[in-house]
Amino acid sequence: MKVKFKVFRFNPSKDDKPYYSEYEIEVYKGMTVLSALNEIKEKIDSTLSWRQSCRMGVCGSCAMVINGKPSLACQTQVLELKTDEITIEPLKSFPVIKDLACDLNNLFKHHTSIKPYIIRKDIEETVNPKEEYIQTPEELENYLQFAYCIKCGACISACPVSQSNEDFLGPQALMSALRYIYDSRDNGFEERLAILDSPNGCFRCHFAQSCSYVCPKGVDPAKAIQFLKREIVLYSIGIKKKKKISQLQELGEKLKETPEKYKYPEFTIAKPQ
Amino acid sequence: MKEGKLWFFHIISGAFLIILLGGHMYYMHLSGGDPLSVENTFKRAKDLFFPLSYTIFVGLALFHGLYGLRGILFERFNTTFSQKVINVILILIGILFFIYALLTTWIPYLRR
Repeated sequence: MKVKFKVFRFNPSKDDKPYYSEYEIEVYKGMTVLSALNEIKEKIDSTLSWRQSCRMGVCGSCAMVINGKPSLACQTQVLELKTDEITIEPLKSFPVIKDLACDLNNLFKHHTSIKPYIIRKDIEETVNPKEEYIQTPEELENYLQFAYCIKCGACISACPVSQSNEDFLGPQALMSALRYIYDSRDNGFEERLAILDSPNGCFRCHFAQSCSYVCPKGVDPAKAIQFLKREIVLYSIGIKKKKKISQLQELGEKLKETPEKYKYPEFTIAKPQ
Repeated sequence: MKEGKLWFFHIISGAFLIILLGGHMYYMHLSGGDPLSVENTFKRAKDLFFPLSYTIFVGLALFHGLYGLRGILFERFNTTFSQKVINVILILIGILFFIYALLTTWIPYLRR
């Protein structure tokens, strides 16, 4: 089966305005949009540009707008789109570097602004860790789904607020903030409040939910933003429950208690001589 | 005031507006009679309940509406300076309309 690929082209240093190039290639079962782009680049047009790396939905580099929906090219099967014409465009809300490659600086700027790391009051242990923090599986479950974000930018591309206001923190950064706020080891809610409770923070979200609809990792940023709003409102009106912060556990304490339970398994191959 | 508090009051004012608009709907449109007649208008103006409820109504409606408008304007004009200008203009508009509403509801009551 032959499929026509209509690909967005724009080189800001050379072109006055963007245009579309059309390529027709033979597709097969299992072919992803990324494989199709690679085939176009190898056989038809070597000037086509985009960003890619892992080819298995882990790195988030190949996010682009495929038939109007921000998706990972490596995870989108050509035949599953059920059409003989596929339009490929760069992510919206980001400036184009060339063709399908975007400048994601804004994403990382906002991501950095929410302090995406564990913040604790025990500075000495944070800087020179000697022990480990206790975290139960239930406490891990609290934030686990929000930790699956690969920072591909698909959610920001789908967000109507991010498209009109580039200073809006965006679903990715807001969700990451909640990921750390919900982490039992973290004690940095008040430090992050200044940016989250600002005019371009989480209260600009319209709850369109398109971020959750397009997320290729099944994360739910829209839900995270609503949880974040709840946390901030409860704090603002003074009825937020005090968070139980994970305490330190001496490294290897469990090993000392029950050494036989944690002993190394037997070698399954001969020990090297 | 921080965004969290403003947003919370926006939601709360929305909830109260539903109750007050429900009351307005019942009294003005569903209870029968002729609430717009001169006689009934004067009767309402002399009853403390009405200027009091109108004051709360207009306060909540102004806050709810202007906060919504502020959100729209913030998306269009998103620099810190323009956001400050928008805040000042909307606060002034809110105060002016609130004073106007107070005059129109309380003067007839005070002259009863």
